[in-house]
Amino acid sequence: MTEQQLLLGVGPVYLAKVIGPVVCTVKHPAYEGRTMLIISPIDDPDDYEIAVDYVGAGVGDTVIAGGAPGVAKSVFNLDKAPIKTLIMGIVD
Amino acid sequence: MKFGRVIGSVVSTQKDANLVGVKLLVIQPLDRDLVPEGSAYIAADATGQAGYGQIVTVVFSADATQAFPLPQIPVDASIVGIVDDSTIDRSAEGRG
Amino acid sequence: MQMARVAGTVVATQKDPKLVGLKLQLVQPLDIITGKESGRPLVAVDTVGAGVGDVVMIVGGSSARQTDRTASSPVDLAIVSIIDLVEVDGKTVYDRRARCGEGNQ
Repeated sequence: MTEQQLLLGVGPVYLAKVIGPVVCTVKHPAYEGRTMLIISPIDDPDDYEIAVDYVGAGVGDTVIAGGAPGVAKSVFNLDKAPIKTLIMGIVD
Repeated sequence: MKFGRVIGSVVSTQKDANLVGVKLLVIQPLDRDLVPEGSAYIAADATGQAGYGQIVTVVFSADATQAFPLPQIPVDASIVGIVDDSTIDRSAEGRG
Repeated sequence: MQMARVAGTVVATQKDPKLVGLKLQLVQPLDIITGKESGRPLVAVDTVGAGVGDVVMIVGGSSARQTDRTASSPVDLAIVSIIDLVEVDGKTVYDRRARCGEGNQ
């Protein structure tokens, strides 16, 4: 089992479309060196979420996104991680 | 994490000890095209550098308490990033 | 977080043991741009000694339990600060000294 598959069992996950990048020069240390992407849930295209990429997703990709308290903390091995949503898979 | 625009500030002297030194800003929530959407709220600035007019990224509830190094802090919205102009320019196209 | 005005005090004798010693206040949420009442009144635990009439900041959900007083109590709304001044778009929405809590009327 890969690390990504393990993640899928942890919290609510959903399918989403990557619609654009977000660039922040000033950011919380937990976001340092990470890519932020705007995603839109397939089920609710009017909604959006700014997610942290964990798999190398790009604009236009359909992805598996989600998260739960403490997931980002353990994935990135941080003491504190104010990150709600991770992109944890790209749908073929 | 959602987009918001800093539209004001809140000053308070009498507060929870762990909020001392934390900047409190008024945020207008924005949709993905950076158009105002919903009611304004107060967020704690975890970057320490956010200011009036800037577009920021905000996390909520339990994630918001993770934005500060203290073991506990009573905040339910925290600013964790200041969005660069490059992002804003891209989104501005969609607004016409 | 939201801005609210303390509208009254709630007294309850029969309650969860972990609520004993906590002061419960009735708070009326205010729109932070106009200063006007917005939504229904709520019950919040006061952690800062706010009085009726004070304009305060309330924090909700699990974050309401992130104070020394509420750490292990069954609460989902806490008053965590007494507001002195709110400025939005360069205009003063609320100034404690002036008590102009009703906004720009």
